[in-house]
Amino acid sequence: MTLKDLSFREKSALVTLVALTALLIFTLNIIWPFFSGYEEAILEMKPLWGAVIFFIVLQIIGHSVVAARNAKKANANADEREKLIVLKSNFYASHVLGFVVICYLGISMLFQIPFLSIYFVFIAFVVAEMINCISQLILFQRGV
Amino acid sequence: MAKQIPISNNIKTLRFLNEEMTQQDLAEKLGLTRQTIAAIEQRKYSPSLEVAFKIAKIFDKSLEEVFRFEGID
Repeated sequence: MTLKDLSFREKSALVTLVALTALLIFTLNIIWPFFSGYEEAILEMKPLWGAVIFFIVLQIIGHSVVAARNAKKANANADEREKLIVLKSNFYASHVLGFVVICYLGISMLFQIPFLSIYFVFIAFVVAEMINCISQLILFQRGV
Repeated sequence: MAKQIPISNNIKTLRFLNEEMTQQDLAEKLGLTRQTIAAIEQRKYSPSLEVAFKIAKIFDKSLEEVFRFEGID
């Protein structure tokens, strides 16, 4: 299996997955001092904006390259199989996101943590989107 | 491991018998991608009833001549 064998949608999912992985590493790197005992580091919001802009730039560059190499397919609408794969992947990702956020809320209530960490919700969202892309790639190969 | 649907088909044979039609040609006639035609042929995807009828019509066959249910009753 090479990159040439992948369809435009698979390449697009792969680009998004790479960008999300970079975003996750970037975000974990930002919050790492929090786990090392410097709690004030978590309050800084500027790095998160930087991470989001970095993610958007990666997505634009990645998708531009993929679209330039597959100009015809990039403009075509998704067919019924591709729509079904996206729908199923969104279903899995939304369940993961819901489960993680509910667990986090439960833990926060249980241990009396009266605030919602934007970083935690952000990471949960990024992981859910990564699961969305991974399940798309699996369903495209395995069958739906 | 690739998942297999319980509906087999002979689209590959019918393509060959119809002037060696390529997957891309069939995909364009149906408004699908080549990958979707490949997935249907490899029993990785069960097409909608509409697409199934369209495939049968392209090859001038009945639905039963193109698709066959091989699952347990």
